[in-house]
Amino acid sequence: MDAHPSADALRASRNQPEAFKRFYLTHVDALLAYIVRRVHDVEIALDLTGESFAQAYLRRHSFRGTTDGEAAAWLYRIAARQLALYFRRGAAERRALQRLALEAPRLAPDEQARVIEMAGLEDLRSAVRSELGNLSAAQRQALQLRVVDELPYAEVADRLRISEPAARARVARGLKALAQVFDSQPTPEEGMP
Amino acid sequence: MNQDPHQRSKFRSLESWGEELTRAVRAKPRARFGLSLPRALLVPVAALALGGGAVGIAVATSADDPVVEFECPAAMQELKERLDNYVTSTDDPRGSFDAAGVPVEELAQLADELASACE
Repeated sequence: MDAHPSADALRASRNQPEAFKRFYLTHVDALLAYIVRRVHDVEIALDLTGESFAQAYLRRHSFRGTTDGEAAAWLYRIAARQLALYFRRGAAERRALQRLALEAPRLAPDEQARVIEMAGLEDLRSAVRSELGNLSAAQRQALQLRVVDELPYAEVADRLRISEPAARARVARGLKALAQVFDSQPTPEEGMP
Repeated sequence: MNQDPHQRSKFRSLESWGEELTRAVRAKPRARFGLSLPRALLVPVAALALGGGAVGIAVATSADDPVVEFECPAAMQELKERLDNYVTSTDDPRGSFDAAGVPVEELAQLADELASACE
């Protein structure tokens, strides 16, 4: 039995791109759950997950580790950077996806429901609800509409009388403010080392 | 954290997207910048590029005019400088190749550096 199958697959993918799929399959479910728990939005989480793996694929030559822990840490550093960019800009980066001429992954409706369950999103909603009072009025209103009431961004924008990109940015900034709360909620499936 | 690398995703959609991702580099359009090469260097560089070891490199396999093509000018410039040094440092570059005609270590290192230069 290979002691570090994930790291080995990542290193093998330097010369055998198909090996990257083993690395991807090892981490994709946990990484998606990790991101969903931070952005509370499956669609945005899929964008960020797709971009993270596309960047990992393009940068696979730069991985210098040998253990599965190092491979996971390398991947999650890429994902954390994507999250930080999203929190700052209110939109997911798509540079690597565009470079590979790829669309971000999309899930079937029944799969979306299972992702929400896997990420423990329903439990987190109560944590969000209880922390809303610590946010600014604008962020509180945006998070209430998007995260708690689960309205689409177009409707959030309409109710707040702002543009949809502005609504997305406001939600992202609110989520950033709550990131510490999200990180304190454990999830059994997260692969974060 | 030692998960089975042969496991399947719980989600069929994610699994099929993984297939798309690992096919993407070969499928995407390339060849934006070209560099003529000594024929002796074409085969090993082509082997690396076509094997997927060098992101950002592709090869035009015209028999009369062997050209290595890149997606980013930084990679092209880097390779050009290194190949210039390589060729001028030996009388016959083929003398440095292994039995299969591939100077593996040197070109693998080169491909790695080019991949970084393209980021």
